[in-house]
Amino acid sequence: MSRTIPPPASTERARRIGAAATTVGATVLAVLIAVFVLGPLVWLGVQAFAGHWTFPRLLPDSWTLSWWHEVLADANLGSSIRLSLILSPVVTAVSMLICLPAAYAFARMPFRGRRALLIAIFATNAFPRFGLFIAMSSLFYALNLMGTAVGVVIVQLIGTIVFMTWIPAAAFASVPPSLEEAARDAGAGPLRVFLRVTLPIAAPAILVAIILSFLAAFDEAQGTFLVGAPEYITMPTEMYNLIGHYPGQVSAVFSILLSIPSVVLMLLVRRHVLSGTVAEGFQLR
Amino acid sequence: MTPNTPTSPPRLGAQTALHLARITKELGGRRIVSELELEVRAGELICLLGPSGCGKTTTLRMIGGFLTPDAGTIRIDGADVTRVSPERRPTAMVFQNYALWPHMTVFDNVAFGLAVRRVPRADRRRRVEEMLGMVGLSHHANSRPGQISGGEQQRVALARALVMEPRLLLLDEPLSNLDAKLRVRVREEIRDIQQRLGITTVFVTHDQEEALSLSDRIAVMNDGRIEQLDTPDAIYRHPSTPFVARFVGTMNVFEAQVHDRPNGSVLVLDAATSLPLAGAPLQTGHRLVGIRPEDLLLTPDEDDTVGAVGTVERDIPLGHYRELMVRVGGSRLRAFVPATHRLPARVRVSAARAVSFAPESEAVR
Repeated sequence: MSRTIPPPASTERARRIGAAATTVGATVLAVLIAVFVLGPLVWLGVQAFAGHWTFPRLLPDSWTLSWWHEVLADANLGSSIRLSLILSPVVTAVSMLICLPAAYAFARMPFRGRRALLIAIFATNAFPRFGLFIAMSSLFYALNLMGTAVGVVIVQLIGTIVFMTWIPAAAFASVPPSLEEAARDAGAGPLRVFLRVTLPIAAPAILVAIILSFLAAFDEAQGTFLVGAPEYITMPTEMYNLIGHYPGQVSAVFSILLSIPSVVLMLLVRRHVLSGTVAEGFQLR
Repeated sequence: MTPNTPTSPPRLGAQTALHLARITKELGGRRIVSELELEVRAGELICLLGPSGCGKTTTLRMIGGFLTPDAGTIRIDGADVTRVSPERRPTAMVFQNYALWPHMTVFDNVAFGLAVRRVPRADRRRRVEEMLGMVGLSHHANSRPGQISGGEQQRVALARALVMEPRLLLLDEPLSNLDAKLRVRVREEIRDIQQRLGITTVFVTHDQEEALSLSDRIAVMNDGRIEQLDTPDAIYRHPSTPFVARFVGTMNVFEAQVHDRPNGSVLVLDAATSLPLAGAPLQTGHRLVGIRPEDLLLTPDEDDTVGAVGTVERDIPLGHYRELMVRVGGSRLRAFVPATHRLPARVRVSAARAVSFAPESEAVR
């Protein structure tokens, strides 16, 4: 370093100013993003403990835990949490059972109508969900699925299909066929090749699909309400109830409770999704 | 199907390890492999050599079981495996991109096949360690494929194939992803291991130098067929078709009238140019003639010398030899001469040896 010839003072200053400007710009951007992302969450957190809060003030006039008592004492809360924690994993599991084989077929088998089907699956998300549910409800009445657990599972399944098909399909497609051939060559049958080679390599993407599907099922409210109420009240449908009958602070408390599973899930899988050890080591030409 | 062998029947005592009998394969409406016939003897290394699209990789994939021939039979040690899936064949393949499993360690990559075959754990560990020792990668047993170099990955792929003790080792352009220096080294390693284990090997390459240096025999492929199956020397010295003559090594190819003279043949290129041939005489008449650059004899143009008059147009030093471009009549010929062999611009040209083909085959090409 000491041996390098120092650049002329003017360019050196210009470089420093440029670097400083970049630093300032990056900092401002980071703060803006933080405000947009964290702002609502902070507000939610404050709201959950706010007693009385008049408009222009930055902080509540008084603090209280009463809203938490209110929510936690609610008889329906426990049952709705329990139901959500049972339903969402079931929906995710059923979704995996149906969609993962389909995803593999989309990735590896050139069948007729492959593209059209892929787009059709995507299209379930293109229309207002409620319209779909209304049309579906007459079918559900005919099949006696209204107000049943099976009906709720089916309606929650709809929102997971796109995640559980598209993401794993892309992951399967990116596994080089020669890796599967090498496993066949080593004596493994097709099922073992899938379980030992294809699936582990696609696992990080499938994990992402599982999380998104779980959250989609967990957060699904409209269809669940339509099909399940009043017998099957999940956390999001219970929230509808609270919004209608209680002050905003109760909703804030409930939102925080509702976000716990997502946060926990994200923390659990962060290491697996972010680590590059699975992705590296492909010798592709 | 009766085994019929129009091309070189196996030597007495040499067992046939692999027999491809009139194999045909079409892909995407194009005939890639066309009634191909090949016998590989036990313990030998055969190269399938040819330009891209000649069907060599398709042939290898059919031997490995990744493709099924449309017609014909594949026998390994006499057993028909034509319709046997890859996991049930006694073959092991080294893929062009190595195809190592990125989520497993080097050890697990090599051990996978043994685990599938339910080899006991202790036995498995011993064999994997022995194999990793042989390819010099014991210290990388716990690395992942992404953490080792291309040459090392190549050797893991080789170890993974060899640990299964296959009857047939299949190599699909295994050196094409390595740099030039490493390629020569790994090439020698592969040949060394192959000879030590005495394992029957089919090696696919488009690199003629690789084929010449590695093979017991070379099958030169073109257009889905084997043009010539012979030892590297024979392929180089006695190419049986113009394609082989052009594809393997450097060859001056031109049409000429061949005449008999008391002291050998004379190749008449045009009215003013005739090239004397010192070696074995060629068939007379209008012929397609091939002469290797090292077989062209150049001498300074003095009164008592014989040969066609030539002009040196380019002189390229290439280390221990020089490459000359010599104009002889209407043709430009390539000649290799020792680096110390100084020549004037006007030279006399004759040939030490030559091969010739019927000129019609040129039109067919």
